[in-house]
Amino acid sequence: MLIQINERQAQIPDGLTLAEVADLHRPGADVLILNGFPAARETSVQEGDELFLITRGEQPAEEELEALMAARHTPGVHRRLKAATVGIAGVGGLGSAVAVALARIGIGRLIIADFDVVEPSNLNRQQYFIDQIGCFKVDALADNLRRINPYVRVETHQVLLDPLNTPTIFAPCSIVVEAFDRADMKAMLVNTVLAEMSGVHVVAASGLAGFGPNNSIITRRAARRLYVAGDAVSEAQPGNGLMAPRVAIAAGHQANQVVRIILGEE
Amino acid sequence: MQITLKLFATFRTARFKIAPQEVPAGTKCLAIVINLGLTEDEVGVVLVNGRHATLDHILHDNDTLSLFPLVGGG
Repeated sequence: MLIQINERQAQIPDGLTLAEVADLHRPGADVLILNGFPAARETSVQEGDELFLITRGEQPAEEELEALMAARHTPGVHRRLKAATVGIAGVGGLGSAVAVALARIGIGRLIIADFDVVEPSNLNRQQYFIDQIGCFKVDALADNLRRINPYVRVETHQVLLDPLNTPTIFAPCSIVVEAFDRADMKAMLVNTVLAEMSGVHVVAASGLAGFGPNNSIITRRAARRLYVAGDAVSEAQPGNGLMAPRVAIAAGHQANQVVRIILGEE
Repeated sequence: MQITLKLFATFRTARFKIAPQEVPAGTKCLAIVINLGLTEDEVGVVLVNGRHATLDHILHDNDTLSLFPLVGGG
């Protein structure tokens, strides 16, 4: 009979228990999921069942993880995500969240650049852990991304970006995400990409501080190769600090815009 | 000559969204910015006819100049 094992079709003999299927297809599996729920080893398997056989603590091979993602994303979409190279300029609140989102969907290659280290005050919104305080952000983020998907190629640059090094560092990228904190750095990055990097899209953010309305954050196409996410006005300042929820909304806009550009939706 | 000036986000406060402007031939984008009471540092992105430009760009008759601020936070 035909069943699904870890999202792939498999032909098995009738009348087997979950444990017997696991022994045949994934010896050593100790977490057995049947149709979405953990099940006892002696449960009998029926035609059309969907099994997930997991060995606790074992990292899936690249091929297996890719197959799982391709099943979620559809193969044509996933192939294009896997082939993409995306740059992220600044890996604070926006950049670290964009990187996590893109790594989770298996973007092929990420080039991340930031000069800074993780500080305690960053933890209210940035995708770092308390034991990473004092580490360079690019190193800490690369570690975290590896724990999410070790098959995403992550290239790190611990550097202060400027108009001279930006085109070189992000040369392999078709899209660069502007994820800086300071307004002058945002302008530098956007203007450098538009002026010096022919054909490259830039996805910027402006206006995401505080706890203003969710739906005032939008994504505007300001120019053919420039998208800007945010409410355009909520500047980070005393009394209107940056907070994880609204930063994540803007970062989600940026990450999804990257996906839309990769998939030719824009 | 006449240009069209488009302002975005905070630049619209106490100004306008879009307005025709009569300017001398050879005017640079920077002159328009200063005329608005803005500084160079406040301008995030400059577009002329939808294409990226610098503040040194010299405007021509019937050009559309768009000025975007970028506010801090990330």
